[in-house]
Amino acid sequence: MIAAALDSGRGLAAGATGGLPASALLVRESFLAPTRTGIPSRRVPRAPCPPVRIAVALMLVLSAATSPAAADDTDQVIVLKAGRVYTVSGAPIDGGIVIVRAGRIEAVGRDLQVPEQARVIELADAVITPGLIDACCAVDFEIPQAAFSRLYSADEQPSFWRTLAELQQRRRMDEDRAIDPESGGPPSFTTPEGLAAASPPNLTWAEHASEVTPHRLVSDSLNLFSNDFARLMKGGVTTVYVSPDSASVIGSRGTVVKTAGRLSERVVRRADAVKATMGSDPSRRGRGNVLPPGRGRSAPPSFHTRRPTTRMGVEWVFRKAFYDAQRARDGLELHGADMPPRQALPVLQQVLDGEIPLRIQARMQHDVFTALRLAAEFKLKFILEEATEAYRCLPQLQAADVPVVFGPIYMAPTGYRRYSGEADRPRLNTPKQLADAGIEFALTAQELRDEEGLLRQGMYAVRHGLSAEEALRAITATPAALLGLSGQLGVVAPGAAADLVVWNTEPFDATSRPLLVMIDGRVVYEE
Amino acid sequence: MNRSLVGHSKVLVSLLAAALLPAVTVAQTSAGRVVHAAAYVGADGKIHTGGVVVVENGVITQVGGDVPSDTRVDAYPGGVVCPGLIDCAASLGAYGNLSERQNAIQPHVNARDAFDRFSRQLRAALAAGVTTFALAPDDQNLVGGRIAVCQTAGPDGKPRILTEAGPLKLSIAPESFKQDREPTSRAGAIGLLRETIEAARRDASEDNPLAAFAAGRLTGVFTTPSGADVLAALRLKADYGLRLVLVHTRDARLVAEQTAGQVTGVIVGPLDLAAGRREALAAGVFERHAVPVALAGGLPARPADSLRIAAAVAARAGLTPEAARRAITTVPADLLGMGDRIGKIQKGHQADLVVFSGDPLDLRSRVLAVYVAGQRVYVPDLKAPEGDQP
Repeated sequence: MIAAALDSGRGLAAGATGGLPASALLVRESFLAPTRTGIPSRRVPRAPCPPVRIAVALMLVLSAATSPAAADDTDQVIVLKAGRVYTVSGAPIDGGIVIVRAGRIEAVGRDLQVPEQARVIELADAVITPGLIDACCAVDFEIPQAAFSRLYSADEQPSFWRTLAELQQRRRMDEDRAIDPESGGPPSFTTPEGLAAASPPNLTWAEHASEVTPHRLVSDSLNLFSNDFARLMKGGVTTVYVSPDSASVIGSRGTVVKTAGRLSERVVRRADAVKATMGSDPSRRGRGNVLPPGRGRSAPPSFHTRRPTTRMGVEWVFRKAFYDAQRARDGLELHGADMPPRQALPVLQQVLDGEIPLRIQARMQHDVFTALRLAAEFKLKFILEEATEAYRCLPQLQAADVPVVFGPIYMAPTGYRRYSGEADRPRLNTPKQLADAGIEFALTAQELRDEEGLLRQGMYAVRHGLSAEEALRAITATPAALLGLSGQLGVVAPGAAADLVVWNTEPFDATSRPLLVMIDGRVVYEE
Repeated sequence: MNRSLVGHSKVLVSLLAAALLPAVTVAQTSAGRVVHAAAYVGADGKIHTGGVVVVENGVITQVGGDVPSDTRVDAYPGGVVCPGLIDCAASLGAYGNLSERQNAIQPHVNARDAFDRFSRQLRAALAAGVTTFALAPDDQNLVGGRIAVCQTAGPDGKPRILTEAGPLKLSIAPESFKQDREPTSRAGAIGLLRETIEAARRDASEDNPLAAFAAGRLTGVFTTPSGADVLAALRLKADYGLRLVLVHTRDARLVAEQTAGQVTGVIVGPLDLAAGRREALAAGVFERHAVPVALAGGLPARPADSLRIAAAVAARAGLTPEAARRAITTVPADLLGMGDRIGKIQKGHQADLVVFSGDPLDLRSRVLAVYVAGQRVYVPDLKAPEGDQP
């Protein structure tokens, strides 16, 4: 399986960690600890080198001294007793007990000795699952949908900016009230137009200065304070792979973060997979410059002019980038149009060597075929994203051993997917078909939340034929494996991080809701 | 601050001032003089009684104590002597744009080239007690250029540049993302900054401000509007050992803990009387985490008094009065790297002084006189309404 290959490729093999206990594996990439070079290592760090250790220790001391959240210190042992525990790694345990110590799961089972002085949480008939993991999540700076709205040029409409301005205004005032309930404080901008004028001119994750930007990191764009994370967490999602948007042929590198917890521990991996996109998403932004007169807004000349405007162009830019990366490695001179940025070359070379995972988003059958063809040409392993028409390429995906991050599931496309014209033939039973074909897959809700969120994606999959067991694995253990974090996240097993969700009933029931969410042994949400 | 000073009869003050002070505003003498008021604002930001400041050759030689007998005395009964106010984020007297639009990295641009000494804005700022300001490149570029530290008046009464080798101005404000040049996004902005710093570390030439910045020898004044921007800047600092002053107001309560001990200081503001709750709270939050806070006046886009207004608003929302006074005098001087020369009433410092009729934080207090390097460069006509000043 590719996940296993990725595991070893990520430096998680026993050799990389030496004789350290498993608990040393998931050292977080602290956002303040120095990295050795400017462009951070993609690997999950080994045991921190002394300066890092000092920095981490200092930070822990600092945060322990000043943070009010420091009250729930992780040294305390927490014992959860529930009606049923879905371990995912093994069979469900009725009347199970989970013992959590120092942020990790120490033991799980039926008849366990409860340690003395432990905080025991009795949950009666509730159900425990691992924290959910979204392996292709879209989190925006301020307003979740804004980034995607740009994909179909909604930002050219004044109404888009007005709506956005109003949402931002409301958010600001909410936050003011959160500090001080008495505060009715005057808004900082008196009109939406005033706020729109002061709004960021660009809200997307992706850098658009070039069509090929694998040297850019989504983690640099990430707003860990975004309310969106709290929303995800309250839906039971504890870890997300934040994906760049699909506006570039070869886009930035995603990042893996926890949705809540102590700030210094939230980033699991700063620089993860490189994202490429097939289809019309990368070509759409350039159209203003190429439409014949009278058919669309004439845009001022910009560097978007040279972007690909067709599927053929998208494929060409992808091929040229990897071709140039190979030539550069062979010491040959680069030539021709559409040269990738110099800084992109080392990253692309690492992708060619399988050191950095590659993800390709493709919705339609022929885009999936293009992705498979390009991957074969450059001998690339990749993870397929979105894959609306995966049911039409099952044998090919099977043959190429390509894992899929599938989703979201929908009856009819809405929003930017509808405008893309690429999502008109969805099938609700695709997860079931993927499972039957033996293709490794995870489910994702991407930008959807709440009743369309990750848990409900699993519910839809169950409704359309997938077994509940497989559906739960597709939103816990499998995404963890695809992220190279097998055994550390997405399971309730000794040694795994204590990311747990307690549900009032069976999670895939329509009446389910989280009663308690725990991340790294800390209760971050309690109903 | 003792309230009796504040409540002092303005009529009496103005009568005394009119009687005692000569109408000439510039006296060209290098002989010593004494500024004698009721109290002074010390380097600790507190108001101390015994407002005697002795000046010789433009430098403060004595603070407090007795009035020397053989020296000329400028008496301001009931007045409070304060260091000349310093606006560390201003565009006073700027002629034209303060950013070069060709490229996002502009280390060789120097704001002194945009300084217009004849601008009328300068006189208005001087009349409000602002003696020094940082003329800074704006937020449109990642690396905007060098900040010039200027004075609204020199000892000869004419505006001057104190130093053109001020800190480097940086920004990852959304204004720095453009649609017609790199970067277009935050990810691109941080990535480009990182590449720029790495390139500058390889180029150790003396005249490259970026090399000095990358080596931690030159302070960078870094505009970081959101909490996420602050974390990104702190990450750069951790990676490269930079010396940073952050310009940040919005998410102070979220990032103050991380900022503590990592930066030279934070510039908060501008704040006006209608400032939102969290803007007003920001300065106090940073102070509680022991981060030095300077307040920005944002001149000339704001009223000339906006520095004092910002200090009053921040103090109302929890900044201690001492820190509020320091935030518009001592701290900005320190952040601009001029702390050993200006910003304090202390022996050996340049005698830039403002005499207020009361506590500078009390918005009823008026400016009675302004001194730069020991010379009285401004005296208001106290009989005229304030709007008619200079």
